[in-house]
Amino acid sequence: MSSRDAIALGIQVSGVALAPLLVGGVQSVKARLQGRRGSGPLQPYRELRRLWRRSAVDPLGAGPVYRAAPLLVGAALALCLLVVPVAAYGTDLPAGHDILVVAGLLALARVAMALSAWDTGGAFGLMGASRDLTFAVLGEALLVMVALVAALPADTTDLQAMWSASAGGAIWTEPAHWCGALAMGLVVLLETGRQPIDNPDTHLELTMIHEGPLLEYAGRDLAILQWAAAARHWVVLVLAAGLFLPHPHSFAPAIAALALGVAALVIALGVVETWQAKMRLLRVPPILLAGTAVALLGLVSWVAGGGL
Amino acid sequence: MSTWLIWLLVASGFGAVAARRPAVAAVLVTSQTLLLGAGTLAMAPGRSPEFAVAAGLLMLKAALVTVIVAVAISRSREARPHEGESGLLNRLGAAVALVLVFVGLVPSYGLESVAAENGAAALLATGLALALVRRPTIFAVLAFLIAENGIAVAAVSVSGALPLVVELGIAFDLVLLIAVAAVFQSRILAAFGTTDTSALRGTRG
Amino acid sequence: MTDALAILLCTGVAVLAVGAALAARRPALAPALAAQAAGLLLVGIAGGISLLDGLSAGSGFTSDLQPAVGVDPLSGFFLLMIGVVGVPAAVYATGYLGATSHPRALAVLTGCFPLALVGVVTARDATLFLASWELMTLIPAAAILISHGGGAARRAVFEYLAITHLGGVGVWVAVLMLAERGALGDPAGLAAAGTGVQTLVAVAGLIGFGTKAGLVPLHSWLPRVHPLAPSNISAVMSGVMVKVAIYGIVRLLFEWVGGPALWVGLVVLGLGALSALAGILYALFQRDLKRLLAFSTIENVGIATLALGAAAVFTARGEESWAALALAAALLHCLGHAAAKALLFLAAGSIERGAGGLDLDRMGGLLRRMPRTGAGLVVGALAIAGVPVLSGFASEWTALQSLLGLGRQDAIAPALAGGLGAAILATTVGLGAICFVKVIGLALLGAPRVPAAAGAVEVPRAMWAPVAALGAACAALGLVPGLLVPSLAALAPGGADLAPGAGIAAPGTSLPTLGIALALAAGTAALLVARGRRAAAPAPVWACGQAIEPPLAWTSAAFTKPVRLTLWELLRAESDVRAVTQDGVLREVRHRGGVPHLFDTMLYAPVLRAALAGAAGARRLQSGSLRLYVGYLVGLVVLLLLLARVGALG
Repeated sequence: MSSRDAIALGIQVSGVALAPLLVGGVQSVKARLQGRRGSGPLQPYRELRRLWRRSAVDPLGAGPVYRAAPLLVGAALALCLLVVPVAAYGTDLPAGHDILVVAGLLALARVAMALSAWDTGGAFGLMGASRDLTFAVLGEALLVMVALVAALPADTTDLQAMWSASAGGAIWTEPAHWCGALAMGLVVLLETGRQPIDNPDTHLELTMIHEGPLLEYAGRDLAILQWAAAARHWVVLVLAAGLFLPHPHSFAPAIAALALGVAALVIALGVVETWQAKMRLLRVPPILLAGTAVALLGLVSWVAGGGL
Repeated sequence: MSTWLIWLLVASGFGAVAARRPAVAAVLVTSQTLLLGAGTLAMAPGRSPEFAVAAGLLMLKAALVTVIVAVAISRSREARPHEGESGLLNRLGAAVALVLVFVGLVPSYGLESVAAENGAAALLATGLALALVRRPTIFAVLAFLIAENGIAVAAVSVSGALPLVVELGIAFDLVLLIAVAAVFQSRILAAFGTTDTSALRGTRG
Repeated sequence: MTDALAILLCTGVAVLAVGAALAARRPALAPALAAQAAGLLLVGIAGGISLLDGLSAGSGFTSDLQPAVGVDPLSGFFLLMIGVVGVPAAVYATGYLGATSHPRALAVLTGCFPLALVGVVTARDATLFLASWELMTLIPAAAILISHGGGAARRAVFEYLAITHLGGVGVWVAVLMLAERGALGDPAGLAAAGTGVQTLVAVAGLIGFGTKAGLVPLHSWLPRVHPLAPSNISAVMSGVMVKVAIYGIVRLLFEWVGGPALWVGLVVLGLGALSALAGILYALFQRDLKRLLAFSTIENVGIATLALGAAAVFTARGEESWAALALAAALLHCLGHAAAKALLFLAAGSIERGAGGLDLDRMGGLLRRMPRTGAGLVVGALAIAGVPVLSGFASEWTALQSLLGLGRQDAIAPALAGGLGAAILATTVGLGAICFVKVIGLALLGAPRVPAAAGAVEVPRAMWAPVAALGAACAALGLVPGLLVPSLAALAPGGADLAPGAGIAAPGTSLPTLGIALALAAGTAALLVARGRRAAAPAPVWACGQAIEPPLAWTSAAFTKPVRLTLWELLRAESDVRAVTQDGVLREVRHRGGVPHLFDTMLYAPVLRAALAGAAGARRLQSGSLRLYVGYLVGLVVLLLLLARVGALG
């Protein structure tokens, strides 16, 4: 393994520890924009430490699915961290680096949470799970279309190849790439569960979407699930910065560009959350469909233009 | 078969179509059949023995047909003719039209004389026309007989002589007769619960 | 080696036939069904050998009308599928058929059905193919009529036979035209006949095979008939019978027609996409478990056809390696779905026995009461939903890869088709996740909703062991699909040289299934260790302080409500809310809702009405009047004479 591969792998593994920082960053930006001082970007780590020390909960009637779900979600998201590369380097182990594998692992996490909601039988959990899965119907289509648009210059869905193909400035002359960037923005909002699609800070159970199944968890289970939400931030933000933000070819500047890009996206997320109110539930699928159509438009423009 | 015999046969067929009362039509058809049998017998000398047998069978059939039709007519006398029967001119017109169409369209198929071909086709057409324009069921039987006569004319006029067709026709008649009798038997049984003819005597009304 | 293959196959078929015959005579069914299982095992092994080693035996396709039988790798794959599904179904029948009304007759049919399927797949001439095809259609109808006597079953069977025969005319037309032109055994045969004949054969074959496969819009028989058949027979119907129709489409497009035209491939792709979407949408809203599974079969057949369409488009464009990948995706999906759907139908039969019904809203908590069947159901449902790392994920990944490859082509029509196809496939997978999460949740998790579910009893081993075996098959197909994919890719015209491994390789990327599975297992174990001893306090489920009562339990309609609301206009869903007040006080609120099967109301009902009106009009020809009939006769004779005169009759 070359040194670059080792460094890239090291950054990927450090994502396990760095992911909550992204959530904290978004919270800090929101606090500043709302005129508050905020708790700082390290607050999610304090949350995780606090939760780790507490005891868990056994809802009456819950079975093994409820107890196993957080483990499965954590494992799936941790594997995603290893699949999403930070540069055109890294390792093939253990799960390769194909974007459709990322989509599948995220789906696994979603299904596990929905099954845990059924196991407890709690109405709020089921309501949230059903809404989450409904958004995921078009969300998966959107993600696949983004994968297609990003795969056009690379001629493969391998993430490292897609990373290399989107480096440099030439790709930004293609309208397809701009369409893909727009659709990727929607994917980021959907997967991180941020406004206007979902409100991660809500305490009203009737408005919860991905928070619903989390209601029944406490202690270390809840810590794992909150870390998984942070890991989702890492996955989609690194993907967005690596595929749809400008970055150079060479290794060290690329890592720096990635860090800058992720930071920019964190600030953008904070701005969007402050600026937008939560959208009505039934309006979200048409927006996702519009995003898919934009990506399709990008595909058409690429083919009609004959590619790069 | 001589031309004037064939014309007689066709004329009797037209007469059956024109006749208003079933009895008259029956007489015409039976005389047609007898005439055909006599004509065939007259042709028999100088032909093969099978031909003579066929001619004899035709005569026999003509006799039987006379008896059966007479019995049928006497048993099924209806008081009034059916309403709405087409007028005389309509019936004759339809029969003549159908005969002309058939005679015009049928191609030559190798009989002794053109007259025989046309005669056979005309008799067939007359039979079909009779079935079309008359409503009482006895006329269906008469129509069938006329058509069969036409086929017999064709059979005996073939150059190579196909008397077998005559025998086949008679066999077919027998089968039909037995089938119809069987059907009547079952219908009577279903309607009255018995086929004892002595018990059925009382149903005559 | 080919001799050994032929002997193995013949032995298997003979043992299967003996098993079917034994069931008619011996009073005990177990030996006969065991013989059937053994025969099917041999048939499956023979098929596997033929596929993996690329062997052929017997004769090739012939256009003579003499019965001819043969095996080649494609037939071998479907023989393997028959074995994979048939053996557990036969073992299951040992425990299941005893409680049905006519066990012996059903056991005979259980044996004859795979025989007919083997016949279709190994037939090498038109007569044997069509005869087996008809037999394959009629045996399930007989099974349904034997096991249910009522009017509803008769009506469903009538509709099944009517639709499959009306559509199946296409199969007859296609196969007989091919035989007439001598194109059945000759690859270049149809190309000489011109594009008109090629188009006719392709369209007729697609309609015929598509009806039997359950492609929309000719799918209406599937959800009527699959729920009625006995569970072991519906497992084979859903698992293998519809896939044999896919076999027909593969033969038609890639062998008999010669290379398919581009528009044919696009049409197949479109039909597949439509079937996948419509199937899963209607499956989502079903409350009856078996009807839900039947609609899901339509969805999965649609996915396989989608991949087949991609393969056809690639073949038309000359991209042979991509075509091979797409064909491998379609066939892998067929096998994975066969195993998973058979598992689900068998488990549904067990649940019907154990919990007394198939209404999803009247189950609950069965995972505790029927743990083995429940665990099998979980594996099967997750496999169909396309969750990593089970069979559905592997085949759907490969299908998505081929569609994304199609989207990267440099012509606009294939690229657009690939992009839309990929989006629709992803949407279907998302909907499938909702559907099968609902099934698992309602049936197995939570608290029992009715006393029958609370008192459910696990079924005997003969009934849960096949379910467990099929679950292991789904897991195996998900973990090491790379053992099969190279052989499947080699089936495409032009072949492909893929190296066998554990995972699947696509141009430029790969799917390391074993690595993903091991990593997930390691991650879960690590988190389990890190979580440590789970100090948990019992607490009631949070419902804003209310006590959780049975009326508060979430139902099937509730879980699918967001989808129903989002697609309200598209589905023409119905909702009727009525408040019952007495003396000014609200007593009751009644809600009735549903999603009507639009194809029935908008497509089949008008066609049926038109047909009945036409028949009523035609009945006026049968007036009963002798004179009218003589008139018909006269007219016909005159017409024939005229035609003879004109010379139109030769």
